[in-house]
Amino acid sequence: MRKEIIRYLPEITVPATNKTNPVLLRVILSEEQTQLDFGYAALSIYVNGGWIRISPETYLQLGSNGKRYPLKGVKNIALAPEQVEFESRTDWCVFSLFFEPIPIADCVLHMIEAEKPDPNDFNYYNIALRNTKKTTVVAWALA
Amino acid sequence: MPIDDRPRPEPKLNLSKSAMRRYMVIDGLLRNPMKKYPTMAEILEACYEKLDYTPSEDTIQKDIRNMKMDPPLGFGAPIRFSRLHLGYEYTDPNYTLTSISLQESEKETIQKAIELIKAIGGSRISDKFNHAIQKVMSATLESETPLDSVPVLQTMHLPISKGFEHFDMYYSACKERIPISFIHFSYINRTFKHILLHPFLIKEFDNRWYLIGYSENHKAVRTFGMDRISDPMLLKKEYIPTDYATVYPFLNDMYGVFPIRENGKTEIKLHVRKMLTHYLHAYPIHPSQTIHKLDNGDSIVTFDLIPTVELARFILSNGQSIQILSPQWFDEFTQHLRS
Repeated sequence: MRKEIIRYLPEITVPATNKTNPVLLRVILSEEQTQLDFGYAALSIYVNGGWIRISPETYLQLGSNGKRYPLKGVKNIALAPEQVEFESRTDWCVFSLFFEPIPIADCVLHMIEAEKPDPNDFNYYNIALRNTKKTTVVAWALA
Repeated sequence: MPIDDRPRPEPKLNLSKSAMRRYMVIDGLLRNPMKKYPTMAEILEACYEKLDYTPSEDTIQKDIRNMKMDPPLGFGAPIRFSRLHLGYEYTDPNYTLTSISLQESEKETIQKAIELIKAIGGSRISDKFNHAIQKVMSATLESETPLDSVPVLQTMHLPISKGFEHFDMYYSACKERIPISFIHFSYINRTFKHILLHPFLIKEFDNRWYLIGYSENHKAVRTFGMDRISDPMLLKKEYIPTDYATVYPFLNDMYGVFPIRENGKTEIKLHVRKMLTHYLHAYPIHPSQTIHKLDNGDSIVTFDLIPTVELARFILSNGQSIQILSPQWFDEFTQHLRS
C-alpha cells in the first residue's frame, strides 16, 4: 500500500553565474520542509578527490521579502566542521539539504552558505521556481 | 530532520511450518461437507491423526485468530463459532485457505518451477517476492515437499548491486504507468541530470539492471542504469505512454542496452578463432547469430543487430579470439573503447 504525501516539484532555473559543481538539480516543496538536491563530482585538482561539507548556518532566502529559512537537516553530506572524504578523483555524490518550509508558490530564492563567500562556499543566487503546483510527488511509504 | 520516505518493510505473515500444517488441518475440517461444524475436540483429534501430536486448545484458538486476520498478516479466513451447532464454520462456503486445489502432478510442477526461479535469481528481485514464494510454498506445497532438501541447481549469485533497492518502486511505476523523477549521473560525462521518466520496462543484462522509458528531458525513449539513479520518486502527473510495437523489436535487436548509433540494424561480421567458435556455437549470444565454419575450425560469425557498447565490450573481452571484419566504423569504435 502506498501513502500519498503531497510534495511539489517546481521547474527550476539556476542562472549560469552560479556554481555548476555542486549543481542544483531538484527542489521539492512541502508543508514540512523545503528540499534541495545537488550533485557533486569530485575534482581532479584535489588528492583523492578532496572532501565536501556544508555549513550548519546555511539558509534559504526569498528574493521578494528577504525572509530566511534555516537549514534543518542534511542527507549524504556532512555538517561542518565534519566532512565527507572522497576516495578518488572520480567519486561523486548526490546530497540533499532540508530547510524550513518556504511558501508553496512560484518564487525566486537564494541559498546562502556564507555571507561573505569564498570560492569554496556554496552560495546560489536567484534560483527561480516555476509551475510549482503543477507536479506533485507520491511518496513511497506504507499506509 | 527530513521526513523519511524510504520503503519500510512490509509486516510479514509469521508462517512456521507447524502452524501452516495446523491451518491446513483446520481448513480441511471446515471444508468437509460430510462432517460440518467441527468442534475444538475434533480439531485436536484431527491434528493428532495428521500431525502426530496434539496441540493445546490455546494454540488452536490462536491459529484461528491468525487465520482470520486480513492479509498480509493472515488469510482473511471467514471463520466463526456457530452457537447453534456448537462448532466452527466458514461463513463463506466457497472459501478455502489456499483458494486453489492442486493435483499432485501440478504441485510437483510448481515446486520445480519455484526452485528454478529461486535458483536463477529470485533473491535478486525483492524481499516481497521471496515472502510471496514462502507463502505459496507454505500454503500449497509445504506439507508434501521437504523444503530443506539439498538443491540440485545452482547459478551464480552476486551481491545486490547499487540502486537495486528501488526495484519495487520501478516495477510499480512500469506496471501502474506512473512517471518518476530521479537524479542521474553519467559515468562518461561526469554530469548530473534531473530526469522525468515515464518508465515501461526493467531490463537485466549481464547482471546489470536498467530502467527504460520515455524521458521528458530527451523527448525520446532512453535507458538508465539503476546504479546511476539516485533518489527516485513517483510523480502524480499524466503518464506518457510509449508505442511498445516500435520499442520492443528495437530492444530485441540489441545485444545489451546502449546502442552506439541510432541508425538501426547492421550486419556485423567477425572472424572468430576455433576455441571461441565452440562456445559461440554452444551459447549463441543473439538470435540473429549465424556461424560459417572454416576448414581450420575458425569461423565467420555474422549478426544482424543494432551495434551496442556491450557488443564492443564482448569483443574486447575475448582479446585475440575475435577480429571485426565489418563494418569498419564498428571496428574503429571498438578499438577506441580499448583505449
